[in-house]
Amino acid sequence: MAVDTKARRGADPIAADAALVARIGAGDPTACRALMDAHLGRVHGYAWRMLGDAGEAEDVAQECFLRLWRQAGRWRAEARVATWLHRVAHNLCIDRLRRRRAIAAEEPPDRADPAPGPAGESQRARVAQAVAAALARLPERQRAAIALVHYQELGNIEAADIMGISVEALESLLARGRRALRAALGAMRDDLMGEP
Amino acid sequence: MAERSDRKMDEARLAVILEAYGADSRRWPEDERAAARALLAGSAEARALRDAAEALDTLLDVPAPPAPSPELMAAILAAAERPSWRQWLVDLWPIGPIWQPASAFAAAIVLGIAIGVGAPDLVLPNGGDALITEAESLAFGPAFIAEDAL
Repeated sequence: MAVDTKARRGADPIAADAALVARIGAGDPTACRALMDAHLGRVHGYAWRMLGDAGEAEDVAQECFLRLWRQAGRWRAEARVATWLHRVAHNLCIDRLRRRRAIAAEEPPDRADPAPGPAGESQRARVAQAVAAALARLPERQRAAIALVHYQELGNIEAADIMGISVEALESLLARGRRALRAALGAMRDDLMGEP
Repeated sequence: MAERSDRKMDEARLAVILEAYGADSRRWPEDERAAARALLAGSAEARALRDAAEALDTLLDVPAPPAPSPELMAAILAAAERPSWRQWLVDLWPIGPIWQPASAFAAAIVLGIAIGVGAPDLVLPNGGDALITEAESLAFGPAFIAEDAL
């Protein structure tokens, strides 16, 4: 079927997503499964990068999909599902980070920076811990910009749209974030490269 | 949002791109990618900047997020299988279980019916005015009655 093949090749991703979400709205469980398989890992990964906590990341990811299920019956083909899910996840993460700040302002932190791992810990694990800690120390907007562009591999226009900022502002956040990370991780590169 | 294609590509702009987006050209702005790649191919200085950006990219890629748990996936799919009328109830009362407001509503109806059926007839016969006057007298005193009568 040449027409079908052409339609699939040239399919508008927004329209294709809308068709899938319409099936979800009609109660098609295979569509739910397909959409979850396609997006859960990325949404969960974004929340984990932003929050640094696996449990909270699961809560955010679950809330994103519950909102999508609720929205499915009245979904409008205006954005890709991935963009929509990332925007919801971003807003939920920012809300959680703000709540954390409010609590931290009331209660002084009683935890120091994580201690170095045991001597047997691999170099790679130590680097991973250092990178995660450096990311966690970034201001949340810089962290979000790096998470969306570097880790989620979203385009600059889409990432800026999710954050509600201009592309120029996104570039500024990215550059400042990467400079801070480079400064924090300067000594780590040799450590990583030294591992066989 | 429209793509920007009017920006001139030079070493300064390429340095900004490398600084912001890193060494992998798949992350670069789509409308500038081809020009940036071409410039990079012909500039040793730009390639040195690219190498520095690549070193940071390598570090950033070390920590991998944990996989979503099977429990999370099961919970998400279970929520999708919820019958639509139950979802409608959740949308109607997202604060908690729907039985709470439903019970309160039902109790209010039962109480209203019970009062309506069991209470004495409040429609007073002709002597009702006298009863009301007596009640006002008890509540507010004889002076109130006198003023009211004027």
